Amino acid sequence: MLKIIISDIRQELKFYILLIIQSLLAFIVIGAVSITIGEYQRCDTAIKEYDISDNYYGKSLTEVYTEHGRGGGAEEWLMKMQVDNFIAENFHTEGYSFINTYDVDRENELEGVEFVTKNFFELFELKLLEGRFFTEEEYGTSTLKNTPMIMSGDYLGEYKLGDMYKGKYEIVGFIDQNSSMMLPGGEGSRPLPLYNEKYIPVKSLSFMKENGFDYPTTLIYTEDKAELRKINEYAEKLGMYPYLFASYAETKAIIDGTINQVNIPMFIVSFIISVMALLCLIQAMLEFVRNNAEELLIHMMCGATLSDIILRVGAGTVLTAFISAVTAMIIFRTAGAALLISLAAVIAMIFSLVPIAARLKLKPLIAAVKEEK
Amino acid sequence: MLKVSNLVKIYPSGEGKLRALDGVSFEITDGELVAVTGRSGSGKSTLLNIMGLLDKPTEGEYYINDKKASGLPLREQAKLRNAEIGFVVQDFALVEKYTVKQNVNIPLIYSKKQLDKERAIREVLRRVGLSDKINTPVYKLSGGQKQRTAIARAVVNDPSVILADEPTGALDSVNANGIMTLFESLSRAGKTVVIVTHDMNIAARCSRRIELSDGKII
Ligand SMILES: Nc1ncnc2c1ncn2[C@@H]1O[C@H](COP(=O)(O)OP(=O)(O)OP(=O)(O)O)[C@@H](O)[C@H]1O
Ligand SMILES: [Mg+2]
Repeated sequence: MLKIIISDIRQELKFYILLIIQSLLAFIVIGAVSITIGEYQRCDTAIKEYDISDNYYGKSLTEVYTEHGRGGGAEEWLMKMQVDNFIAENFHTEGYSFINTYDVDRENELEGVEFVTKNFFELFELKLLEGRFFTEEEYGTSTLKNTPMIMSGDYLGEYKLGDMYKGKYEIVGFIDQNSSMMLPGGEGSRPLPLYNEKYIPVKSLSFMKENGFDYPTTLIYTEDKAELRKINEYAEKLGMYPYLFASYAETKAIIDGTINQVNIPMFIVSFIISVMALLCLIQAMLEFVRNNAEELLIHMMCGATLSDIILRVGAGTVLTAFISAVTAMIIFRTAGAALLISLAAVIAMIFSLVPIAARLKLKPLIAAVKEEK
Repeated sequence: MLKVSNLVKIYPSGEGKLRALDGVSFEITDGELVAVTGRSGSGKSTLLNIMGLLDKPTEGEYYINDKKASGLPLREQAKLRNAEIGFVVQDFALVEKYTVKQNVNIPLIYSKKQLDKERAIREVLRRVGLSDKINTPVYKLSGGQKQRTAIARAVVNDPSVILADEPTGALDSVNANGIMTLFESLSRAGKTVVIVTHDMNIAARCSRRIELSDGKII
């Protein structure tokens, strides 16, 4: 049986290669669309999970600080810090800020550590795995001495409660690294993973400024969005481009809009392409039956059942689908695409069953063989 | 054992209906070598096709080894065709692009029987005198060679019933004689052999004759 199937495929090789390319194209489009949509949906659910006031605004993540660049250089970083300090002085803010070597040269033991504000853990609903959150008194101090630290759970094993990080910062808690954090912003908003996190409580604003630490201004609270204009006026004075501000509600609207505007047409296109690929698979099987009807009927005369024939006819299709599936799986690294493709092959087989059976009607077998001649 | 009772086959034709078989009944016991004769158009092929489960009777019943074969599910009929029936079609029904060996192999692809397939093919080709053509594509064969290929394919899977429609029609007397010798030895081995033939010499070598005329036994 296998030998026959292989020789069948070899006979129609060009056709099958074409078919593979076609179904692959279809599945690449589908894969890309479903991944994009999936990502947006993830944002959508991430936002819905929060119970954060819409008076909090996030700064646009597509920040181009000055006409010189995207804030990669030290100069731009300093400007951004000045704006953050301005924001912190004029608004209530929540969130986190990274400490990196632009902030401090002497304190580079804190490289990669984040300052977090008083309501940070509560707002983003981060769960504690072990230990405790920071206490009220631990926030807003003016010294790095006796600073406690909370880590993400992936550090468990390397550290444990009560350990001193770099000999100075006592680890008091671990948060669940399997949750994520969704910031409001423009279209670029994505849930942020929580791996490799090391948090310390934010210090007093004056201490932060004196020591060149960036104050956390992830979420800016205001009852009137127009107030945020002041921030952009200040930024422009420094020579920076203005920020875009968006609340969670606005971010959600943007994401929903994107799903509807961009992805629905794309979804329709990929649907059409896959229906065409499906029809093509069916067509391939029927064409094979038409071209080889006499041979297939002779096999049936000698005892092949209809399922033997369908297995043989479907083998090329299944192989085509299998190759496409494996390729798509490699491209997208998900089993979802493969599943979709296998499903398409099965559907194609089922759809072709009836016409194949009709063509290979057994009753007037001899007459049919004669007819085919 | 084969048994047909009251077989009727009606074909729609032009103005009315054509009764190709009109109430045919008989029994054939194991090991019988039966000739079916009759004028052209008398219904011989129609009868044989029904007995080979390649066609359905309009009315009547058909039993193979006491098992009712007419009305079995298609899947079961296919299995019966493979295991119990060897059929030689009047115009051979060979796959032209296949070699002789590939054609003879077709029933073995679907066979559940435990047999040495390579050996079975070689043995049966030797008996029909086609050993030297084993790898020749069928379209290169003469009519007589095609007929012998068709006969080899009919018997290769060791069926208990062999149905042959004009198996010697394209053969010269030497080859026809050889094929009849093969059928006689199969019949001696207990197989049921039914041969449709016009040739009175062939019919005379059979143990029994069924003569059809206008779809009836006379
Ligand atoms: N598929 C068909 N459709 C309509 N009529 C048919 C069909 N097959 C056979 N017939 C008719 O049935 C009658 C019996 O045909 P059948 O082929 O059985 O005759 P036969 O005895 O085998 O003749 P021959 O010796 O020429 O092979 C004929 O009149 C034929 O025309
Ligand atoms: Mg005939």
